[in-house]
Amino acid sequence: VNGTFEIQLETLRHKFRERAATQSDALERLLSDFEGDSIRTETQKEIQQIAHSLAGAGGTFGFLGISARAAALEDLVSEIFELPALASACQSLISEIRRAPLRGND
Amino acid sequence: MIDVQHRTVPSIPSSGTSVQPVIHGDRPAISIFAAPERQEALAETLLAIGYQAVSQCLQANVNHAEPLRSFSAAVVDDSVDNPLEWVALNSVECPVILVTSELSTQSRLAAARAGVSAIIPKPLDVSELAEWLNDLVGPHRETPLSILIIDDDEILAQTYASTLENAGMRVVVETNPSAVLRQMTALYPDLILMDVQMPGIDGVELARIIRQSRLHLALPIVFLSAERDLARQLEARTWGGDDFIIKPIDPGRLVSLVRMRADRAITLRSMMDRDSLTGLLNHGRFIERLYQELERCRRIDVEMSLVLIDLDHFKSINDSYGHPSGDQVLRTLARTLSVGLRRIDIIGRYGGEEFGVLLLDTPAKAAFAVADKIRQRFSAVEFSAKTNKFFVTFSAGIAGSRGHVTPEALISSADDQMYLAKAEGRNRIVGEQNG
Repeated sequence: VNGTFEIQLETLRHKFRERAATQSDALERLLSDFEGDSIRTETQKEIQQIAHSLAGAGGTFGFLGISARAAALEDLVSEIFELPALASACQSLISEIRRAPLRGND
Repeated sequence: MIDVQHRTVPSIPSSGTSVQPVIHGDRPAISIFAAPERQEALAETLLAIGYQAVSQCLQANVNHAEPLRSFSAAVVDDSVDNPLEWVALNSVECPVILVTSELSTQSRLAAARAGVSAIIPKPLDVSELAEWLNDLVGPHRETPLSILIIDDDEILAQTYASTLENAGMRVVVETNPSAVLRQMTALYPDLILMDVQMPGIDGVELARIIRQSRLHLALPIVFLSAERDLARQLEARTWGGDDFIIKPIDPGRLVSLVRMRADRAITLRSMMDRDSLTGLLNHGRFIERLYQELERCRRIDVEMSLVLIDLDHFKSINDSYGHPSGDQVLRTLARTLSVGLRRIDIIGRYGGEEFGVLLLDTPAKAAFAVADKIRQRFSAVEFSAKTNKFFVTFSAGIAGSRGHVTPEALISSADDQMYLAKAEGRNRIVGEQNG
């Protein structure tokens, strides 16, 4: 039974890793949406949702670095922020996701 | 060697299409070792509290006994020769309970060294034996905890589900928050594990909606959240969240927190609904169920029976042997009823020495046969108080739901039959069909 459980967890962890890659691509697209010193409310909301999802799920699968950076981004985007700071927080999360190994416990 | 195993109860003649009550379930087998004159009483007692007993004799040759491995436990009475010598050789095979009057520290130590799991002083208190067996053999009706997970993130929800299922729980995942209320009525979960931030509806709002139903007031709701805002957490608690787990979630912590919360809620709920001495439904809850079930009988046109049971001469038991003995009698009857009836039947402590039973989907005639088997079985249980041994009986009245439109009329009829049983000389059942 324990073996099956381990396999189930590994499958779910893999699914999370795939979804995180998709989310990181989406973040990158959103970054290119930034125009001058303003950001659309829609874009802001999407960033917030992605960050919230990654902050919660990342750590559960052992990706503590992803969780920490996503949490910082979520906090930032939920309040008054400077656009360059937001862009850099996004970028930091994107590279953390790209760097994260396929297996957790980084 | 007396083999009590074969004393199965004859099946009740079927009448119509209704489901017939079954007296025997899968009873754990207990091996008993006692002097011949003690065997019968001990076997009857075990039968009454839900076990099947096989008497074995160990005087002549230990090897003649059936291997203990096939038994859930052994009860050894100190009326046999050198009980501890035998226990020392066999206690690895199954848990051993020693019934003895040797209660000094020295004898207890010797018993412990021989591998005795529990010592019950003589005279034997039936409920103490029942409680020990329950501890050692485990409850026979253990059902896994039922957990409902509400999280819009399917990968996370599945992860929690796998973790809890791996710990033996039954889990249903719902990723659509608006479908939750439908799940609630189908599922009766023991605990809800819920994400706080979901699209469309927020977990705190959902908790408020769930709490609007009286049925779910005591249901524990544990929030899972990436929420780091303490004010939000406090708000969630105010509106009915019992606990808060911050993501990321450690699987071990998740399992132990869910189990602890759910167990505590089950205990609390049972304390609210149940009589503390017997563990049966209390008067209020029993009447509530009677109303519900009678309504169900009308709706789907089935018949049920109400049995009202009253112990015979209960006051004199209390007067002659003291209240602890009276309590022992009440607990033993409660247990005899619980093991003798089906899971779906409803048993309540109706009053001081009065018990009520609802036999669902059972006409009064079939109910009579069931009640009479229980009457016979209970009257065979030997009670002891100090040096006295005594037996107790009960009288019961039965009324079927077909003849009575209101709950009051059903109760009053069963009550009338019960008084008739008392008037006719007690230790008997009177039903409308034969009364």
